[in-house]
Amino acid sequence: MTATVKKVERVVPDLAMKAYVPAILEGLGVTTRHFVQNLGNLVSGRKKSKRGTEEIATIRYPDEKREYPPRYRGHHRLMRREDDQVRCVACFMCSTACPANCIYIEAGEHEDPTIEKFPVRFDIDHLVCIYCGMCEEACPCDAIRMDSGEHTKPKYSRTDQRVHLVDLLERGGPSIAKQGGRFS
Amino acid sequence: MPTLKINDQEVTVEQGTTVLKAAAETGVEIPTFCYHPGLSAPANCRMCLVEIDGGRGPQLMPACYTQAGEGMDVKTDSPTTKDAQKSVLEFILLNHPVDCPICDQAGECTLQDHYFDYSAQPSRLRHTKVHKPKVKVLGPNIVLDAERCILCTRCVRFCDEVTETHELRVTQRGDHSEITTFPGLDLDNKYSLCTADICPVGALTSRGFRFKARVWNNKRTKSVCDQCARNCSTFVDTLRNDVKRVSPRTNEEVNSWWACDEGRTAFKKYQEGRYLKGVISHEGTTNELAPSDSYHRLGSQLSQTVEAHGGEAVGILIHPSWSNEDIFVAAQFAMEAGFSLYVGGRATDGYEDNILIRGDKNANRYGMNLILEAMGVKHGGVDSLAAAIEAGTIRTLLILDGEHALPESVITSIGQVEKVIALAAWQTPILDAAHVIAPTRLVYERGGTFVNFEGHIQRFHKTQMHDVNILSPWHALSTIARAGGWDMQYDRISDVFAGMAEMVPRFAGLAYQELPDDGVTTVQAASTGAV
Ligand code: SF4
Ligand code: SF4
Ligand code: SF4
Ligand code: SF4
Ligand code: FES
Repeated sequence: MTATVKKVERVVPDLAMKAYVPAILEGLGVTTRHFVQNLGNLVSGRKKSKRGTEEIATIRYPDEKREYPPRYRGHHRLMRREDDQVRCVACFMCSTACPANCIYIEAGEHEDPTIEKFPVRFDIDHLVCIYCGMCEEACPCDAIRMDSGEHTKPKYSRTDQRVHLVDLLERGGPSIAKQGGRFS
Repeated sequence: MPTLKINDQEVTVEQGTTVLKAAAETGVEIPTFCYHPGLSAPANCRMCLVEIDGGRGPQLMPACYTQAGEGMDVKTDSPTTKDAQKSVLEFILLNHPVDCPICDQAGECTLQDHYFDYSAQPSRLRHTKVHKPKVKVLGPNIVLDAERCILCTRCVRFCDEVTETHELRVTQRGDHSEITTFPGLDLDNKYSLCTADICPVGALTSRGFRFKARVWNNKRTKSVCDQCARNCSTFVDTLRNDVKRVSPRTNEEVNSWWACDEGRTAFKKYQEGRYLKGVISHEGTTNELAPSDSYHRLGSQLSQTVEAHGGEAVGILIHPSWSNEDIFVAAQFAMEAGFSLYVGGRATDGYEDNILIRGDKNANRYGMNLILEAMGVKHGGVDSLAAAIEAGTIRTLLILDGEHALPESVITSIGQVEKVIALAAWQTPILDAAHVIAPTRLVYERGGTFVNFEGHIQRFHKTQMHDVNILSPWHALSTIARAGGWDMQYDRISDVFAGMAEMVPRFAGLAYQELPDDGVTTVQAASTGAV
């Protein structure tokens, strides 16, 4: 195969470009125009233009936050059973599927023989996690989800980025999916 | 000697061989559940049904039970056989809970494997499954999930035929059948954990291992049990440097398929009080020491005593559960420096049976005797150690491994010894008297060889490692000797073994790297009497 070559014409700068002060002034002009326009829109409360496009492209972060799309994979959460107990049965499917190897689980024996196994420890290291969603995919119990719509926040230390069972459960709501999935 | 055809391949086998074994000889695998080479064949699971034409037209017959006959035509992959396998699995799985996510057997489950290999169809059951007790404790080591049981009766036959303790029975009928213990009996025999191994599904599981780890995360290493003179071949499963489970490894000449509960759960006693640093106690205060510093401490202590009082003033207490290499280096050190050598060891509990368990709770007494005899090292028992301490001839006592059963006389008089030093892996009461303790590796963390009471030599492997600066006993001893100014140049275990094979005639011709992992090698026959 022969390589196709596209020649780009060089821009030969004229005197006005070479002096570059006029170009700077032109840029300042654009910025000032937008500033005045936005200020006017803000004061008058006009959000949309006649064509329906947003007049103000920015939001007032952090007072106002953008909604993530529903399929955004964010901070993990552990779902609860109807009686508020953790749904997770400590099967290690998520940690087995996890390509980053960042889920650490310790299983315990539940006093209720119908539950049998539950996690006494469930840590996810968010500095190692690559937010691939494999864990969510692997879980047979709809116990782990990443639909919290929250991204992982910066923290002051590495150890704080290791989230534990309690944080994960706090974010979790009830799930009424059949425990054990469709094969039970 | 009948000749038969397995999938059109002719094979001649001994009279009385089953079709299953004949097929295995030609490399054809037939799936089984209830068949176990160490037990009788009741042919109750029907998983091994294959199409056999014995002259009366093709019929489905259980391969584990049917004897190979002249001119038989066996088809293990015909549509009829495949259909039978699929149907048998559908029956077995009919009421099966399929709770693999919380089942400890998942990952090493015969039912899972056979399902994927021979069935892989969804359940067609439209009614509720029969429910049975889920967590039924049968004994101190075993718990039953009756729903997962496929009623192969392997566990029942094990208790009837191997241990002959007859604790288990099948009760009820049909799909309500359930394994249970006889009223008033617990599944509490010395080999009860074997029932969890041979259970092809997750019905019988070990209470000690329950929920501790998923099996596919474990690292499996070939090892040898050091808890009695039998030396059962084992697998040691570890996860992140912790031993999680010890299970028997098939070795027909030593332990067949079994291992005793005591040996398999022994690793738990070593988990507490592990020495990962050297310890130095002085007038009631204890300080920690880096492992390498502690070896140097021991070395200089020994050389000081020898300089001041001569070699006999040092007593060294060796352990008959140490590997040949460890004992050889200890004996060589003792000879070179002129130390007085004493043999300690674990005490017997007086129990012995003709399944596996030996009364001698030390793994390597046979090997130790071979070495000490060949090298001509003078040695005494713990009683002569007591006498020597009484007489005040021992100024420094080097205790190797803390797991010695010492008589009262030694325990009371040990305070009279000027310096008690030790090389040990974990804390035991006798080490309370020690002034300096250097750490060493547990049996799971090092490699070596044992010779069992029948003269079979087996090699065990290193599984896990807490700290590479902690050395195996032979390596620590040669480091200590070097630090004390003696000439000991062992840095590789194969060199130790080679040195030993040169000195001990009955190890002649063996090489460390060439010892097989499976099966056994017997040390050469004694030319003179028994050891
Ligand atoms: S999102 Fe991916 S990397 Fe993160 S915990 Fe789940 S499986 Fe592991
Ligand atoms: S896969 Fe689901 S049920 Fe299993 S351990 Fe992970 S979160 Fe728990
Ligand atoms: S016995 Fe096997 S198939 Fe049954 S639940 Fe356990 S792992 Fe799954
Ligand atoms: S408990 Fe296990 S070994 Fe015993 S009959 Fe059931 S499946 Fe077989
Ligand atoms: S293995 Fe042959 S019938 Fe069970």
